[in-house]
Amino acid sequence: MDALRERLLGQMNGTAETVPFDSLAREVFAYQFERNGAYRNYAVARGRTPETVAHWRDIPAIPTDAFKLPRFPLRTFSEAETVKVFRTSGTTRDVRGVHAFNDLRLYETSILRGWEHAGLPVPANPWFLSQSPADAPDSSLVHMFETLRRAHAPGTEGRWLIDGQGHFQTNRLREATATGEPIALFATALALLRWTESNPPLALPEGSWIFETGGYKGVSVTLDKAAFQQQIAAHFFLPVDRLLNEYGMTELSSPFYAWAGETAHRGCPWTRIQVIDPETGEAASDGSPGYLEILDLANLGSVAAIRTQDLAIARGDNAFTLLGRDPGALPRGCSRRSDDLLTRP
Amino acid sequence: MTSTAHRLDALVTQHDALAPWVGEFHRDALIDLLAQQLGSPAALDDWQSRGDTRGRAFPRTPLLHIVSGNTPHAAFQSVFRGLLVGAHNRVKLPSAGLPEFERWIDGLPGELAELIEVRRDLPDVWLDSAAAVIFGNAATIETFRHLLPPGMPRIEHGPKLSLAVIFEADEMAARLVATDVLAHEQRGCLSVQAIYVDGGESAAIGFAGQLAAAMEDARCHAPRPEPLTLSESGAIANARELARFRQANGDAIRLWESAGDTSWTIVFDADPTLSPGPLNGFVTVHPLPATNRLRDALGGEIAHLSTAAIHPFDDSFADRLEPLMIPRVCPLGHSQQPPLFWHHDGRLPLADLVFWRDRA
Repeated sequence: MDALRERLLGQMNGTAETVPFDSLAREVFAYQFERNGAYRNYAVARGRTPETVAHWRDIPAIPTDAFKLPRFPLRTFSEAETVKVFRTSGTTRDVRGVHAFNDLRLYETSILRGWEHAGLPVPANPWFLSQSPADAPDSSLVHMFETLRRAHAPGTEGRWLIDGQGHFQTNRLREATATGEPIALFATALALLRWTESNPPLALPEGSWIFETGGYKGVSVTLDKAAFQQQIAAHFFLPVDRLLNEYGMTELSSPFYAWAGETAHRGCPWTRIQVIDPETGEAASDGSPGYLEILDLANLGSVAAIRTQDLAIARGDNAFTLLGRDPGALPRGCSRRSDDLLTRP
Repeated sequence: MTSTAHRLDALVTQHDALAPWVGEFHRDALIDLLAQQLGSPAALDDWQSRGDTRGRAFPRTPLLHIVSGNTPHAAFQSVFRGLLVGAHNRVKLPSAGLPEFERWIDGLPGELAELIEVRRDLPDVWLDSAAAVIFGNAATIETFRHLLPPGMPRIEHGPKLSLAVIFEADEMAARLVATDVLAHEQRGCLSVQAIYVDGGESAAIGFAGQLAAAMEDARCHAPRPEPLTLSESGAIANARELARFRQANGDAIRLWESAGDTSWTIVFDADPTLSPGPLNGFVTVHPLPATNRLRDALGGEIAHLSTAAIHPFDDSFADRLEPLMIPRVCPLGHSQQPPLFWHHDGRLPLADLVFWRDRA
């Protein structure tokens, strides 16, 4: 039995005496430094060891692209102990990031207790605008949906509105609205946009709300976040503030949430964030934008400190205003650059 | 300005302002250029015998130029060519403008000025242009493919990347390649993004060390003209950290970087695969594969190559790169100064700007 994992579970569940975050974070770093060879090598290259890290802010964050190099597995256990692998989304031609687990309890507990910490409504009547766990076994998002469904609505199997071939099950959601019972609709932003492009407006019962996550690069329209939220709310006849945005990623275990109209995404007590000025590598000054780094202690089996590719402004130690991928930065010039690899037809 | 002679005279009066951007030129050279690309210097003035018929070239006018930021050469060259063939030129500048080009426009005499309109937006009335020359990255090219009327001929330039090949590594080569890497912050099609060094891994690593000193020196004398956006800095920082991760874990990679900022970055990578990078002073160094392996070793990006700057410049060295079929090979240090007569992206630039009518 892994004592540190049990203690972290105790912290999340509120069944153990509270340990200061900084102390626990440095313990997690030492644990990962000892067991995760690829991360240890990187930390040493950055001059960071358990002896030199004096504060959680000093724990070196790993770039998410490192999860795309399977020859350097970022895990604290052997391959034989792997019980679950989540992969980042992408086409067959893209290199997909891999996040492996030897135990899903921290991951699932973080989702459920994090939901409570955020004060989010119980999804008693959930529908999922996504594929099922059977059709998307390596999707961390679908696993999150299923975790929430099992915990909050155990009698609701089979409410997956995208089939194995990627087709919408249009009529099922329409039929579900006929009961008048409020619906919690879980979806990616991209799926919602595609739904609205191919289906007539649908009034969800009063009291319904929508969980949405992710970007929508690749759709035919250009929308800022507020316009997107207004479009979705109008399509489903909901007030805009009934849209809940989740910020999460395959490389993390703990999500951050913000209702539409709120200025900051909030995390749970076992997470911290930093915003880094990429030009200097130092923390951005208060109120200034920079690159978001997240320290997620639920990521015990891989790497707790993750350097994202998103811009944000820090709002305290575990909340941030998300700016996304630098909306004001238009690529300049006619030079082919690394981003062009992503837009190749 | 209806006659070619009149246009030549007007362009020659602009020599001092234009030569830094389009290369050295004089009246006779422009006549030669017209002869080379249109068959006759009078092709735009009169019906010229062509085999069993007579043909005359007419400019595609009005001619729309979509030019990108931070690479003024492209704007000057494109409009220069438009003026040479007698087109009325509509120039859409990037939203941030293009100061060097705008200063030139402001100082033009009336007869040339009336042939050029400049805006930072794209008004609907410009959508009736006879053709469009488009410079830009993949997103820009794609945007204008959808924005412009389907029947409008488009001459697209970009996105491209360029490389350098060092056959004799020395300090001079390091200084010259630093020039090619840092000019215009690598935002042009002619910007060197990867360097291949003859002589194997140790030669490449040794050259990368020399280049680090040259890059540091170049940045000391000529710092970045403007700060990077967060995304641009972030792309460099991310690429650096990924290189550091790979090096720490045993990949044949080494990293040299400016201290305290992202001014310059060099990554030696034993893997010769050509990949576009985050730009703004970021370059990779690789061992040069054997000629018979070049195409496979560099990979699919060779389809986007524009220029190879080689050192020393010699046909025997250029011939070793023949398997890559690169449109242009030039001396190191000159990648960003294409000559007047160059075949831009392998095409005859003036020929793209005219259409032909025949009269039997």
